[in-house]
Amino acid sequence: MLTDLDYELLSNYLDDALDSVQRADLETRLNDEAELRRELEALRGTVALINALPPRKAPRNFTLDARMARRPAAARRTFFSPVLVSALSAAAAVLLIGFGLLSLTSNQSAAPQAVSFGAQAQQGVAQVPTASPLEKTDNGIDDGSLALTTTEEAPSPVLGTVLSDTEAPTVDLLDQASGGGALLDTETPTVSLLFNQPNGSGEPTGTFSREQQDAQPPPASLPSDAVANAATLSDENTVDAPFFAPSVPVGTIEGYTTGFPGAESNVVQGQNAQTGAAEIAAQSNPAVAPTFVLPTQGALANLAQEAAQATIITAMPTPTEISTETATPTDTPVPPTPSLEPTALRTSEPASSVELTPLVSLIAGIILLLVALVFYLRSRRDA
Amino acid sequence: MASNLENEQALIQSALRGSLDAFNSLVLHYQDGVYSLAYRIMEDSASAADAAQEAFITAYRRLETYRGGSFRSWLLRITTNTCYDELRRRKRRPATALDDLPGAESDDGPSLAADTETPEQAVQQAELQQAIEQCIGALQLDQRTVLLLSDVEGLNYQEISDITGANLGTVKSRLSRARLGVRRCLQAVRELLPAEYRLNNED
Repeated sequence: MLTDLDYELLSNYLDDALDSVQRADLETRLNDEAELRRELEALRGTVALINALPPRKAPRNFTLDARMARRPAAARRTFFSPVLVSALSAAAAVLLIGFGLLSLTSNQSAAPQAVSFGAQAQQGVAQVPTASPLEKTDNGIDDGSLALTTTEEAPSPVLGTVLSDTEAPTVDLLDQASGGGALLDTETPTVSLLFNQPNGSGEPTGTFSREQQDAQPPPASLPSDAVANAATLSDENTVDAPFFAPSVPVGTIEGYTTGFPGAESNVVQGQNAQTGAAEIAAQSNPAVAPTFVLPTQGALANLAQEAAQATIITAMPTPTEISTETATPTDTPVPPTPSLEPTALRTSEPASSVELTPLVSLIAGIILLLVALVFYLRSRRDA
Repeated sequence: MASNLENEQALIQSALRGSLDAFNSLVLHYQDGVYSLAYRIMEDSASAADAAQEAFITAYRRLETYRGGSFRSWLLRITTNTCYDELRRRKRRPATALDDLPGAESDDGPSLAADTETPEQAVQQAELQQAIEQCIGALQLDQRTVLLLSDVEGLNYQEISDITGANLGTVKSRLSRARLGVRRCLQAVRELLPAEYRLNNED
């Protein structure tokens, strides 16, 4: 019985592909083994039959014409185009989805900050966003300085309130200074709040801005811890941080809005803007939540002018959405408390317009991803 | 396959300079051999014709990659690769060719038989060729390719190794198994063979 190696030796022997030693060994075996000889002759006959196979006549000529000669470029284009579109779409989709997810994640990371404000507020810890750098004073504030006092168990001494979806502490910004608020020079205010004169005059008393506040040194009477807390506030709570708006008292605060990236100024809108009677008050539990009172004075003319020229951010709630029924103006300054209440204002729809950009990015990214998939499958099909 | 053209290199150089007529002269000279190899690999005439056409188009596109040597061997290499590509594509997407359907007539051309044979001899020769091709077709693809390149096209081991990408030992092994497979196949249909071709080793 011959092995595969024997057949391979025979095959190579037929093709004269054995070296001299192998050839000599095989020829010796061929002399001795009849079966090996028969197999050799059978293989020789098989190869002769195969060699005798005539070539098949081509059914037609395969000569090339000019169109075939030009085909390479066209073929390359048709193949390359879907692949290119698919690759570009996939790259754009990744960028958009990554941008959207990053933005959403950043927004979500800002939300717990407001929650922590509320928790800390219960502990009497004063934290003030840097976007609204408030200064805590005792009862009275020197004229010309911006002061912040807190109140306890007092209805918000403002005309308007902010409908809050939580029982967050209330922050009231009002002119606490006697006889008028501090004149705040606002050239390019980042956050402009129009405050009502707490003495019931109903006249705007001033604006509040970050730049202004930075220019005002804290009063000497301000407790050091409050100053420190105010100083440690994160910029994430500022209204001018990109895609961060919910953590600052923005949104449905009546009479004003806060600025977003690209916004030249903040808005003091509506009739309150005209009258200078913008107030902030969260509809929260006033018994628990102390209230910020931001004393300002003066700048009435500036405020009115700013309010008239302010750009209304259409995505923000209109003053008509805000209830004012719970707020009443008061002339009595609220006694200060040792701690400042954080600005944990919650709006009913916190900055939905800000989250629109990452959502649009996500949707566009998903659409582009589908486009990339379709073109990829098309290229595979064409290939 | 036909012998090399006397002016083959001149035609190749002209084709490299963009002469389509020169390349078509090469096509006409080699098209039967290219088609035959494609037919015996593909085992259907329509696919073989497509493969042959695609092989010539590919050869024209890549003519600048021809580095001398046997142009026929270079052409058969392109043909083999073209057939392999098509078979791989079919494996991914199985389909039935119209020629494979029952009752369908093959449009492949007749074999190039000798001019001197009688009608009886022609019939017998055709049956023999059919039996041999059936046996070749029953081989595995890698064995079949090596057998065709060696025993039909007459290439040496090194050329086959270059074309198939297999080393010389693999080529020898595949060729040995292919020849043995065809011999055993032909023994099964030996009644169809003429006496001089009967592979009866039992006497």
